[in-house]
Amino acid sequence: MPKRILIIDDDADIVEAMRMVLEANDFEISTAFTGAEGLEKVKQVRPDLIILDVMMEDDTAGFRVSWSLRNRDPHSEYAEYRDIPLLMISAVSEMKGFRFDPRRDGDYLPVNEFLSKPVMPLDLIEKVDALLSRE
Amino acid sequence: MDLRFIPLERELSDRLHWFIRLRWFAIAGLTMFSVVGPLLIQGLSTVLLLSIAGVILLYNLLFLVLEKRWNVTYLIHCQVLLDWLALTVLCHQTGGIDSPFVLFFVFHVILISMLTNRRGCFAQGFMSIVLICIMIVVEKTGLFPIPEIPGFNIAAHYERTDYLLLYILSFAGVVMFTIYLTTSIVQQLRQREEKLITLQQNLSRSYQELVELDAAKSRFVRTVAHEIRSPMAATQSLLRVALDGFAGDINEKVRDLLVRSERRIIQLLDLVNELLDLVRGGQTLPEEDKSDINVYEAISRILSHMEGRAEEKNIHLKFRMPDTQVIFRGDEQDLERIFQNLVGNAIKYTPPKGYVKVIGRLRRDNFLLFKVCDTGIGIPEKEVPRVFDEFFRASNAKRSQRNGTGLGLSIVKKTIEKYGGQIKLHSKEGKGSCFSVYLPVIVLKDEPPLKGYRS
Repeated sequence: MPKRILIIDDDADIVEAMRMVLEANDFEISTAFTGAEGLEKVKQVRPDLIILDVMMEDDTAGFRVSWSLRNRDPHSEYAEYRDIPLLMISAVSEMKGFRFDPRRDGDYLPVNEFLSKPVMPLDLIEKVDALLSRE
Repeated sequence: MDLRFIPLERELSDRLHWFIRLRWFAIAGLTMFSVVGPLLIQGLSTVLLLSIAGVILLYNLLFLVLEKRWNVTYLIHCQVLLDWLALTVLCHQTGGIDSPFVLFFVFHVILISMLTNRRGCFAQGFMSIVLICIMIVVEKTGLFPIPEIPGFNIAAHYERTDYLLLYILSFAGVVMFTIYLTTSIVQQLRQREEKLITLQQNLSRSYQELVELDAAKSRFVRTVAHEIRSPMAATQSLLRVALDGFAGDINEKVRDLLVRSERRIIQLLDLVNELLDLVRGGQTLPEEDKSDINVYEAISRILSHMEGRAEEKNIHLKFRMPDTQVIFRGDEQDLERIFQNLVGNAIKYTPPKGYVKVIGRLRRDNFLLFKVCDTGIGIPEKEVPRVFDEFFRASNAKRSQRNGTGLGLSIVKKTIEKYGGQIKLHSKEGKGSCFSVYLPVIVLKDEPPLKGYRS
């Protein structure tokens, strides 16, 4: 069965670019254009990986999605989705003048990996494969 | 900038405190005189002099207690009045109008001129004249006779009414004229001080406005740059998908068109990124965003990322720095901006087999001097003063490399100057360029001083 990937990003063209690349690599793609919609979709499709933008309906929508999903509260409505790997994609680091380093800021920002915009197809596949430990 | 404004009330209470403190010295002096004076001059009474000192001591203690509770101006006037009274009694005890203590009236007049306003001073000066008059009257009429001092014929002076009148007149003249002179000077000084404070306030307000304006401008540029970058990032992503063949096969002609489009997009992205850097370079960094950066490690790291580019062009990249622990307080990205641009340019404009050297030297004034030198195409002498201008590119640089925004060196200069540093350039066309960067650093003392070099 193909692995399911949920892309949460408000830029339809970026979503389309990623969808083409990932579908060509036999992934099943679902999309959401806001953080709130993304959280709903997580429950519906139960993805194996989530690709997450940062600035959507507001500047930190993506951060909030990641915090909701990784909430340590065992009774959280997203408790069963806590272990889904998160790939954060954004140019936010340049925009705000700070850079996230998943090794350093892991606790602060609970995502597994970062991908910068513009999206380079080979880079995207490499990171997705690594997160799903797919050969 | 320290632009404290001391309100008049505060200033007055400071002066009041000073006034009370000065009085302790007066009391000490008088106490000493009451012991020594009678030994030297017959007719003076230790007990009487000591009791005057005692009274002054008592009311000074009282004022010390009241200092914080009463109205300051009121307190100053009370003190001066009591001082006049004590001084009059002291003069009476030590020879009336012939007492040398009469001179202390003038001293006191100067003091109150500094303490209170002009009208109050004249009123107090008038009081002192009245007191001297009363003293003379009670002494002349024999109500309170002056203690006899053998050898001084004081009584003779009191027999001549014209002399007494002249005495009072000149006393009044000296007191009033002194008040006039002193308060004039004090007033002038106060006016100048007020002007200075107003100026300072205006200056700090204008400065604040400029800072806000600059922040607004930076916000605007950031927003615009972001708005430009998002669609370009999307465009480049889409082009990449097509170029990498994820949208099916494309023929060579289409590929060529896509490659050209992507190149222009990257060019534009670079420009936007550099514009952002230019804005950030000029922004002062809040203290919480600064960190202590080990300069040697940071620059080694930056240079190691550029080694590949140098090797590709067969350029020898060399780095030397003193073997001292040197800390730079700031943003590591700023260091990156400075050295990536300088060393990147050096590699870009140096022909193969050339040299690019980065040499650090610690100066005595705790500035780190970095020289970034190359054996590249150099900069024409006439154009050297303009290389740090925004969007300026040297004519030979344009010929040698088509790509380039002309923003790199202005970013470097702005970033360096943000930290209070400096950049200088020596260049000879056809021979090479040498940039000298001065950056303020902190030297860790317990490390071995400048000795060997590591490279």
